[in-house]
Amino acid sequence: MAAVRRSLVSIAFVVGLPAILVLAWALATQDSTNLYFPPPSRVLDAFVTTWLSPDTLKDDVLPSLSRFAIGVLLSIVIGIVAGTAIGATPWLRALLEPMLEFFRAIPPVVLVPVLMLVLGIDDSMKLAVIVSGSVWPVLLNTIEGVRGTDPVLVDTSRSYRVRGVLAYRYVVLPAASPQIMAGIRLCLSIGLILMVISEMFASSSGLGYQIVFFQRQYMVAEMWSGILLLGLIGVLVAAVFQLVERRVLHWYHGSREVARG
Amino acid sequence: MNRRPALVAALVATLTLGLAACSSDSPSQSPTTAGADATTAPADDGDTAPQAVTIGALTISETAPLWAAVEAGIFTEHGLDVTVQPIQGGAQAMPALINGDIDFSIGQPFGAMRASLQGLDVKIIANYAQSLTEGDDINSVVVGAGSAITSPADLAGKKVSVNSIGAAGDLTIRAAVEADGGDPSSIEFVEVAFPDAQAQLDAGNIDAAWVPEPFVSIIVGAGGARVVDPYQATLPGLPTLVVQTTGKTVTDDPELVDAVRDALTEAFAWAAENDDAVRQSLVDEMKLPEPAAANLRFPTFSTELDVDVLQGLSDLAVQYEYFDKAPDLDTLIVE
Repeated sequence: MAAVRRSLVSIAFVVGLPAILVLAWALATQDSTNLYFPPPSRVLDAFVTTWLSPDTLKDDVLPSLSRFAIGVLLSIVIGIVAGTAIGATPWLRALLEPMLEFFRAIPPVVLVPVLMLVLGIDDSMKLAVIVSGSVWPVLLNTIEGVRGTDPVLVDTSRSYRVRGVLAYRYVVLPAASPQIMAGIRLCLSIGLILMVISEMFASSSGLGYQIVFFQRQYMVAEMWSGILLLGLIGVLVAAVFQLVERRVLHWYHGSREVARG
Repeated sequence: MNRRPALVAALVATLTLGLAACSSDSPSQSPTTAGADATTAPADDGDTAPQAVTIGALTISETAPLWAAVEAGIFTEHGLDVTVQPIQGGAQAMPALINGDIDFSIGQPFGAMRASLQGLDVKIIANYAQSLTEGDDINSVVVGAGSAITSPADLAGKKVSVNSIGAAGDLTIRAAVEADGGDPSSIEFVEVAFPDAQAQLDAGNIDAAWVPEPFVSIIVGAGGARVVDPYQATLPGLPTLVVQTTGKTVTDDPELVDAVRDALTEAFAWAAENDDAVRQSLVDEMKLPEPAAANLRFPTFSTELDVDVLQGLSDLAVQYEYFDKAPDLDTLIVE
């Protein structure tokens, strides 16, 4: 009984604020004739007709999402591999770190015209925009995480002859994984933003393109529905991330709870 | 070995302090600008003082006669104290127009039609600029050097760039291609900003580009070629820019609308006589190099609306399913 009540309460907490916000929005726009602030029912209508039609799913939503997935996966792989190498090699770190900070500070948006020239105007340019922005949190966190591995742990494993690939797999990467996962969480949200931005240039399809298109066509409810879709994708991605994180870092959360307890 | 991180830390700390100092400066500046706005805004008191009017206009060469005429005091003679507010595009200007942040906006007629179809209270009160009915037009579909595309029909199945899809550019290109016997539905349009078009043509990422002056001259001068002037080919003399305001302004203050229209008519007559002053404003307001400003091709400036051509544009938009239904031009246009 108590368990049922507890889960009901937690569900109420999850949906409570969104429900209140939608209600407030509905009340505020009840007799709104302002085109720019349509009532939620109108946006929901637009959402169903715009984004759930097979054509837009096939031409705009799925290509965007696959670019997002590929871009983020590339960022994670590049970030972890390069980050481990840089973090484990002091001279490489000293050589590269100032330059990494330099490139990290460049907003990917200003690189778009350059990338358009170098890579053309197809998917590779859009992927490059996504990777050029979302690789940094993973890369820099991996460097920090690998560098911060407990020296006692490293010495101990070395004296047990745990070396090379084995040491990376069972000592260094697990020790760095809390930091790496924090980097990936950032990478996901930056990747989503850049997915939208990459489609605002030299494009004729995609989620980001459609939102800008609707805005220019004064189809405001459709525009809001696109923004709503982006937010929902963000929530979904965060939920998936949390599931993965709990599996990967279960030992870490466990050890912290023990430490706290 | 241990000293280097300390040095880096010191450097970072200095930078951070510097940035913090910068950011703490900015809030102290904003109240002064806000104050300046507040003093200029409520100025429509009394009949003797000139009435404050804000006109939104794109930072493009077509705005030159407006800047020059404001500078020369043409609008003051009509009792108007005009501020020209730079805008980013027609769709961005519309909320500002509806909110009353700007009183009039100069934008494309196609955008105004689209906005009125979506239920926005927008009116076209005068023409501003129109494409040329003969000779080389002010915008054109161009190709790079050595392209095999020579006629509009050749554009079928090709990648053509426009600055924004779903507007008069791609619509008239479709019509021109179909009139020449090509299949308009096979053209693949992509959005490329006008200044980037030449580089994308050279790189082979696009097959043709629709650009206005001065980019047409630049690309043709570099060995490229004109394929078709889509405005002139489909709707000769199509207005490129019109003066828009809200229906509320038209009902509440018809004298203001008349005054703006009259002042603009006089401004264009003055601009035709004072070409040097107009071109000087290109240098002053757009930082255009002087030789470029001297040779730039201008459209025809006039407040006379050609309703038949606008009707043609609207029909074309319905025919190619850009609009679900035709906009009611009788209510949209106020003359």
